[in-house]
Amino acid sequence: MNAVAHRLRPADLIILAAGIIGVALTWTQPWAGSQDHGAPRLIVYTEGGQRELPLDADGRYTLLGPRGPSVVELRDGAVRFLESPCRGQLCVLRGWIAGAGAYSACLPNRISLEIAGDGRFDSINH
Amino acid sequence: MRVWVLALVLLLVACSGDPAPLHRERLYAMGTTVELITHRASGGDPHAAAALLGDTLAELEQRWHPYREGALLAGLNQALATAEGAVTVHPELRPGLTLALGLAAASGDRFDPGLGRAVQLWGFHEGDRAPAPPPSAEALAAVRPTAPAAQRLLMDRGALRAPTGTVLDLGALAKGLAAEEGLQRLRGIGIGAGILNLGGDLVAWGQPGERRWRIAVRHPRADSALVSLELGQQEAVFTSGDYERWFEHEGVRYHHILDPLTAMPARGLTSVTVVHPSPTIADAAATAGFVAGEAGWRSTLAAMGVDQAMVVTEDGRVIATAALAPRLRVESEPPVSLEVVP
Repeated sequence: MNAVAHRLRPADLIILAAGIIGVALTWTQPWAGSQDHGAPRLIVYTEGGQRELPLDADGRYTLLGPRGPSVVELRDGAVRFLESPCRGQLCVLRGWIAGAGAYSACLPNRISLEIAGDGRFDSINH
Repeated sequence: MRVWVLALVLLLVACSGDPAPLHRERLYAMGTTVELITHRASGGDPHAAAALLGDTLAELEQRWHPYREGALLAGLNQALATAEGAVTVHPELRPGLTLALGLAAASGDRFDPGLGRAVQLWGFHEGDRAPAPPPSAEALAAVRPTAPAAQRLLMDRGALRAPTGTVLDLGALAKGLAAEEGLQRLRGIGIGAGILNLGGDLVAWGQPGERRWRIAVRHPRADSALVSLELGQQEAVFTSGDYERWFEHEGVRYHHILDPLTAMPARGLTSVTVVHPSPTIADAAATAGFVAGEAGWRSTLAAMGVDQAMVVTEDGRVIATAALAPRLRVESEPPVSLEVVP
């Protein structure tokens, strides 16, 4: 071993250390490997794409869908549709949602809200 | 020496695994949110898969939409509106319609593909139902089927004989047909493992590496998971529930799953979940089981060849078949106790 260590140059040791640290970092990631880890995040899907809103900051956001503006409200880690241009108002009646994997949508206005999962499940049936 | 160091580093990196092996795409189609999850290492181009899926679902909507001008099924409904005799069915509709009629017969007519007039009367044919009271008893009597589907809807050599004014609506089978077609086409372009989730109903195939797919079934009255289970190489999980499309009038909730006998929302269960290799059978069975209610769901599903199912009753009990129960992991807090039936 000493003979091997003597033949290692400082640069070799740096590469070896970087490899070991890199592997250790990847092992700290759960096996599911999805992006659903860490603090709860709200993912908003609209026709224009998806964006994230901070769940730890209360506020109201206006999101534009094909029917017009929908207003969503965030409070204490929960979220709800506050106002919607749809006729049925099912999204508003759905009320507050909270917790990993929770989901609410206004299909007529093509907007959905999803609190990112905790990585335990690949998909959710409902 | 450097060669050995480099080899060791490469070996360690190879052992560390891909930190993000799944690719997720989301789109709107067929009036709902569709999610496609693919496992990168199992083959196929996930972006090409999403594009193919979008085209496939648009094509199916053009085939099966019961009311949209220009759709094939809407055209058949127009012909049935005035037809006195048999009407020729477009070749693209024949396999699905034959399948639907077979499932209707197997379900003891709990699932009825000819309920379109009742669906329209309730307003559930519109994705965004305008507020209105439930239909009157007289109006319901006028749209209630006069005989079981197996007796009044007859396919013979590419033609359909049905009472004049029949409106076909395969809404209870639409996601199943889409999942079946989508699965075939995605496999056809080499997607070796994935989950296709159509507004909550899903089919999974292959497996993401060494492990299996694990999915949760959401509690019908909560935001959280009720149970979870691992899926086999091809399995569909479909749930019919009273919370999908509904409205409230004078304190009473009316949902979209209609009982063909009454043309009214079926009562007794909150949700029915079916696990089956075929998405179309799972879809029709979930609806039929819901309509059959607490007393009839088990025998109805058995008649449709389904032995893995779970229901939630209106009073909150969770009942699973003996074939499915051992696969379920209870996720709810506090944990529900599963009742098991043969």
